Amino acid sequence: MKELVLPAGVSRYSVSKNEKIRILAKENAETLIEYTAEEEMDLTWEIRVFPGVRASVFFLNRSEKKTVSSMEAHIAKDAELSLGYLEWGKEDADFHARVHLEEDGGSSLMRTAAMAHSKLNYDIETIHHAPHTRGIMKNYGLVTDDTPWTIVCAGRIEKHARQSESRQETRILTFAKPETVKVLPILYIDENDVQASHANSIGQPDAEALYYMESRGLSRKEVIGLLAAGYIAPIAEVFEDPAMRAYIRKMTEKKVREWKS
Amino acid sequence: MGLEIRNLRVSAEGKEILKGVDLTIGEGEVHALMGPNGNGKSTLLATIMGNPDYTVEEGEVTFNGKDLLSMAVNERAKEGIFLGMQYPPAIPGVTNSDFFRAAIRAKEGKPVSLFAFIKKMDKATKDLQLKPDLAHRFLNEGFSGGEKKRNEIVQMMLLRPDLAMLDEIDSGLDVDALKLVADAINEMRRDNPKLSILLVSHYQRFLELVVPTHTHVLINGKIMVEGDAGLTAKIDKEGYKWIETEYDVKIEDEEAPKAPVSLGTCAVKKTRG
Repeated sequence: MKELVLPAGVSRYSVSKNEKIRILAKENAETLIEYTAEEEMDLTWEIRVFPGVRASVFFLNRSEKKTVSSMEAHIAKDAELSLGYLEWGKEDADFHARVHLEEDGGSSLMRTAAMAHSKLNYDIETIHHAPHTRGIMKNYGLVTDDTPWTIVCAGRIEKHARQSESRQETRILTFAKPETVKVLPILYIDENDVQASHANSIGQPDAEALYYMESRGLSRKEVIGLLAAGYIAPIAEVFEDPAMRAYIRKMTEKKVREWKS
Repeated sequence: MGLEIRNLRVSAEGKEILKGVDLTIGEGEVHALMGPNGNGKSTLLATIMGNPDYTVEEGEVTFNGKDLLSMAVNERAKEGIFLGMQYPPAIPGVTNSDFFRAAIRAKEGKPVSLFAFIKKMDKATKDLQLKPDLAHRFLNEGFSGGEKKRNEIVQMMLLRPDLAMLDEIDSGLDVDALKLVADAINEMRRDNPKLSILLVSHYQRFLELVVPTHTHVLINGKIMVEGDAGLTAKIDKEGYKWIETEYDVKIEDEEAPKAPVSLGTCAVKKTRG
């Protein structure tokens, strides 16, 4: 397995072929990893965030062909991982991510966002192994046609992980048949004195909102573009760096424009 | 030329609401539309704007000679029609500034420069004493009732319509905010003498600040009484009951809200006797 030690501050990388990579965050760091493959790609990631370190790792999938990403993240004592996965690929994608909050005070915030026009299969889980850990998962999606999308999102609080917090939220805005998307939120709780919740919504754009925005002169296409960009935009908050946030927002708007045309 | 409505009959969910409305609004005129609740005032404004919840059964609506009823909602807005809504919806994820810029671009048919936009936005925000972060907040999300109404007027100032319809824009505003909104409307009228206004309001205080040139009272889906600003004062003093006697009509009451329906009990707490 290759090793990538994240430098302090902001960094960017790209991958275009099958790889197994271990990412080590030993100091506060933010990194963007872009998938740019023109062929099918199978990636295995191991992320280790060292004690007290705050790391942001953002995967932007812009591949031309099918991708499979398998990820295991390990969060040490009082460390924080902000993990992002933005799906802009042109073909099917599988995304399997498992975050292990291994030591007291560890926390993670995983955000995924996608504009689904091909078959997507997400299986994500945050596992609380230690007390006082906090794991949040937020999934946002736009479904543009009738290709199926499955999201299994699980929060697991193990025995002895007392006073831990597991939250998950999945919001899908669909322009296709709602049954195209299957979301399975799961909570496994094996300890008392914990907090856990899940929220899930799949829906078409609100008719009242469409009318309101059209009454200001916007066409249906322009309204949907604004709603779509607004839906996906929060994923940019994985980064604290303003330039990286701006880059992700710009990419989001570009993708929505391409989709509308 | 302005707005011309002839024999407008409108229904919603199979029920006829407007039963033959005739109304003419000329350039620069301010028309107050009054009437008891549930008699069709909001329906008339929504129909002019093109709300798909309402079906036009019969009649004509033209603006500056153009047939509005054949136009989509956004096309009507581009013709210069604006509706300040009674209950503007919150739209999370879309910031005010993105929305306003997109709306100005759509109305003017060309991109608006960022500098010009910020200048206009700053003025509108200050005039209505809204918080400076308004541009970056999501559209109406987390806004108080009064902020939502003032945000409607901000949009009106930015879009500079030729016909502004304001549906109870004064409700939810305190005395100071009412004055700010009225001042903003009057300033827009000074800047654009062709601006026509159709106001739905129940409050004489507001109609003393934005003085109507014409007043109409909508009863049972028809305009029953017409007059000038003096009519609003009479209604403020005497209500609508005199119309029943004078015009030999029985005012239909607004449908009472349906009583809540119990879906059953989902949990029972048992106590030991």
